Amino acid sequence: MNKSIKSALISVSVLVFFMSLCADGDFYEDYNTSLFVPEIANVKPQLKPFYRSALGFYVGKSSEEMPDFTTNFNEQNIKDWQLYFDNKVDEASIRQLLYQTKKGGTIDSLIFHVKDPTKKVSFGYNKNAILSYPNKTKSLDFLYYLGFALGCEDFKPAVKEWDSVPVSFKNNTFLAKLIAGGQRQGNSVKDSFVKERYCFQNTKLLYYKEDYAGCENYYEANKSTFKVSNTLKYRTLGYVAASLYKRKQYAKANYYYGLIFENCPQMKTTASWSFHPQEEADWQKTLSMAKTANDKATLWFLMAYNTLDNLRAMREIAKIVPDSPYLDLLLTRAINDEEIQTLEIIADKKSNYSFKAGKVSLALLIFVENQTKTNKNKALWYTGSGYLNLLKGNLTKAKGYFDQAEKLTTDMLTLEQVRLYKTIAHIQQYEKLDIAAENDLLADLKWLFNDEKLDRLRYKDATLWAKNRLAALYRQQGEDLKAECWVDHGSLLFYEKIKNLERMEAFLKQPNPSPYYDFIKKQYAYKLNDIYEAQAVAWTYLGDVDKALAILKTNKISLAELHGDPFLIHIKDCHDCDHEAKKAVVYSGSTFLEKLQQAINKGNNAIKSEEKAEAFWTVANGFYNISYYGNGRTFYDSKIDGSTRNEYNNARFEYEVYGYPESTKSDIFSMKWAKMYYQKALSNSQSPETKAKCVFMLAKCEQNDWYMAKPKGYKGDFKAGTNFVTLKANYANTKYYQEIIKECGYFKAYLAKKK
Amino acid sequence: MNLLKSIAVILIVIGLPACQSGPSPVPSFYYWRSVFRLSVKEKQELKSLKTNRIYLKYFDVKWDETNQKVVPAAKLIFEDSLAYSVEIVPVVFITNEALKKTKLSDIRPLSQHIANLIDQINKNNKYPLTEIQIDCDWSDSTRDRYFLLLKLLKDKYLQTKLTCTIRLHQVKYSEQTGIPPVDGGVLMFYNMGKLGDRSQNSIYDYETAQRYVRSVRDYPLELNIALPIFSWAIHYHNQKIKHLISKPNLAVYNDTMTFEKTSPNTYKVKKGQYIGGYYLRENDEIKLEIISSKLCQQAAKQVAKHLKTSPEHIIFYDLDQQNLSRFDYEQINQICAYFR
Repeated sequence: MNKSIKSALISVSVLVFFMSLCADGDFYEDYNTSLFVPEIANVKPQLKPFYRSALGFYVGKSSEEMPDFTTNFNEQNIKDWQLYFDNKVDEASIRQLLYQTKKGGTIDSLIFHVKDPTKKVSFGYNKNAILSYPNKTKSLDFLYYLGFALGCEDFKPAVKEWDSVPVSFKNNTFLAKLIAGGQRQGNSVKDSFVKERYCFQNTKLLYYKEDYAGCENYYEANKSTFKVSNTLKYRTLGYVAASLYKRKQYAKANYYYGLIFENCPQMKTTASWSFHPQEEADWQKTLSMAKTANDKATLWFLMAYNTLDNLRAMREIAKIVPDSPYLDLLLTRAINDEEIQTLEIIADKKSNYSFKAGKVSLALLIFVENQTKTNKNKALWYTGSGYLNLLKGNLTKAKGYFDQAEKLTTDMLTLEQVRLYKTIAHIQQYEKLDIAAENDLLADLKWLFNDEKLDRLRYKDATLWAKNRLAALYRQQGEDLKAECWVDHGSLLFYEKIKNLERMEAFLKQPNPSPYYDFIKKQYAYKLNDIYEAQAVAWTYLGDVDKALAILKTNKISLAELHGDPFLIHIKDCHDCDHEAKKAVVYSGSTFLEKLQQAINKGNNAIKSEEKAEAFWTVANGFYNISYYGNGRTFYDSKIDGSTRNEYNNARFEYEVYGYPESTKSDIFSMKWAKMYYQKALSNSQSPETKAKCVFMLAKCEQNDWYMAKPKGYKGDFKAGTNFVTLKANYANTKYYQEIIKECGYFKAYLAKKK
Repeated sequence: MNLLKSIAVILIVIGLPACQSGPSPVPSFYYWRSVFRLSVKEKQELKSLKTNRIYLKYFDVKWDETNQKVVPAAKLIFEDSLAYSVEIVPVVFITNEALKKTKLSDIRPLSQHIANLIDQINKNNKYPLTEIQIDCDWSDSTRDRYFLLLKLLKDKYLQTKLTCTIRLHQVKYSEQTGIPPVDGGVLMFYNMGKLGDRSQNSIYDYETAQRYVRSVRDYPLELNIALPIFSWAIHYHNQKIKHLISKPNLAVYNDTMTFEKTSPNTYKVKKGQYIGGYYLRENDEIKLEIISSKLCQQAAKQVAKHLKTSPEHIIFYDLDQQNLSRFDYEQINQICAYFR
């Protein structure tokens, strides 16, 4: 056992070592992706941990429903000893002796007392029921054994993680003495129950002493002793198998693990992990040791559990034990293993979300289909055959199997599983969605998306798939609004275009919608108000602030708060500083638009040109700040675009790798309105200081435009444009010019180059 | 004129890279198995090579997902002692994940645990301590924690040299990944490609190395060089990597009953079976990545050109009879000679 644990550790450390080398190191598959619930096989409880799981052992929906995976025999031992004392010693007394007593004085005092009741026992033990047990020989046998067993614990390989390195007891003289004493006692004790216990401890001690050959020999010489306890023989066998492993006697070791797995429920999990043939030859030898067909079937199951070669094991088991429960269990494991590939394919756009792109092992499919003829658990195998066909896109065949399964079972989970598959097949069958198809699908879609299902049913991947599939078909046939209802953001820019927003508004407002329309509108992630909000934002970026405000007013909605003063501008943009700065007025998107409208009107209507210039300067700053480069990004963070627009932040990076992404065309990068209003402020003002400011801001806009279209491979993030030339030529005498030199590294570098 | 000439000659001599003169570094090895036991052949080889230094991996430090804590793993079990005097350098491999999941405030106790365990193993074996090496492929997100750990270890071992492994990407992108606070580094001149890439050898590939190797000269730490002599088989199931089979028995792949050779280094499994502790399913694929002595020489030549100073130690990964079967001791010495 130790050996295999050790080698598992080694391989894990090797794997981790290299996993860090590759970003997409996909070594372990998980079962987050599945449409098949193994519980429909309904195997007996002790086999449930062996349903396919990435967590070691399957826990299902809650760990409480599964047996304890840790092999702890304390309770079993207490029960065994109670039986030994004909149930005349209570559980608490046995527990105190077995698990709360230290070796040495206490046990001695008990022995003395049993021999001579006038002798005192250690504190806390005078009420222990063993003292009044009538058969003194039995009591003494127990107490001597207990003293010995507690002594054995000293040699348990208990290494504290960081505190010490493994200690070898190979040459430990105390252990040698303990073994000699244990063997002597084991031989002399008459009671077969106690004798068996001594044999167990003696075998274990030889293992601790690293005398692996001795361990095996001792067991072989004494194995006939084991006839009382149900579990002790297999606990002993565990040490023998581990010893065999140490000696590289893999065939026999694995045969013993098979026996342990088959006969000792508490040790199933440990045995399954320890079982590990090394070469095909030793595996064949293990098989040849099996005495019955059932033993052989167990070995094949362990082999499949160990290797995932479920098909090979199922073929062999079907030949020797056609009604073996391992077949059902392995079928679930095979399907959970097989389905991943296809589910990954159909979750990918490249497949057009079609099961026709699925991949399934033909050999597995044929085997499973053939089993439906002979296997007793027909509903399970029909369901499995149907699902494997579905994964391959064989819809008609799949449906045939599902119909059969439905007829043969009353199990709710199986029925619901089949219903899920039939729904998937139903959706998959359409390559085009017309009104007839929509009406035909409606009931199934309602079931899939609205109805409550059994807790265990793995349907989440099906809903995700159905959404993708339906959206893809609608996009294919040009019905983008319906597609948006299933999966939003077919295009990142969809909700920036006023035309789309108005079409969507009309779609959502459609009078007397058909039941299908009504249903998909409820699937849609957004409501009418979200659309209005997006319209107001879109009109703003089209430069039409009046329209934006009118929409907000008519529909009584307001836009979110802006974190900085949207009319504030600096030589160097600093969003965080603006967000943290104390603000006289806190603007929302709506109040921002109101002030923007006032400023535009003032700029257009004022008579004095400096007043005009000041107003246009304010407008220009406002437009600058609601662009990607400004301090008011929340303006475009509407409910619809909030999350996707975050992708814009990566736009530059993507560009370096893939070329221009669609998102770089977004209005939020546009400097159009800022430039126009800075230009207006510039031409209206006579003040060199104001003009210098306008030219510098135009330079910033110019740089931002260039940056978004930066040629691939250009080194650095900056290129001086015409506005720097103007600044240098015309505004070198202004105060602002000096401030620019102080704060703007690009300009400073530009000047240095020009000298 | 003559004087000028001789000054020029002196300048040329001084200007020559250090790698062109002096004795070859003595080959040393990493020992990476979890039980320390040398075969007769391994002992012989060490003797012939006059190896006086072994970098012995004492333990791994990894994240225990079940118990949500950082733990040591694969602690070295000693079943052998060295027949003659060889200096032992303890190596501790720390997974990047272990650092990722350890809080900054828990780095100090971790450093103490690591130091204690090293000390205990040394004490048990009576090894004198002259150098400790930490192996970790740290990343941006773990840099602060890793460097703190190194600093704490250095504070504890003032008299001992503290070194760490450096991967090629950490050399090329040293501005981002930082320079670890240690007394020296070992450049791992292997595992450079994308694992699983069918078109190249992910252990060593000249072209891939060429993209990184020029940065080596400017790396500010004193570097020793680690070179690969190992091989492995990459086991694919459904085009995904299933296992890395270390030290594969190459002879088995010639068995045409079991394998169909699909290219010079790839094989398709004809029939599911256990081989060497692994199970290969029907239609699985195996790609062999082998480091021959010729390939190792190429690597040595390539990296030696870019070193500022001659490395004191050339460390081969890893000491194992099977790896050594492809190298005789003269070839190993030849490889070291590139670093003179």
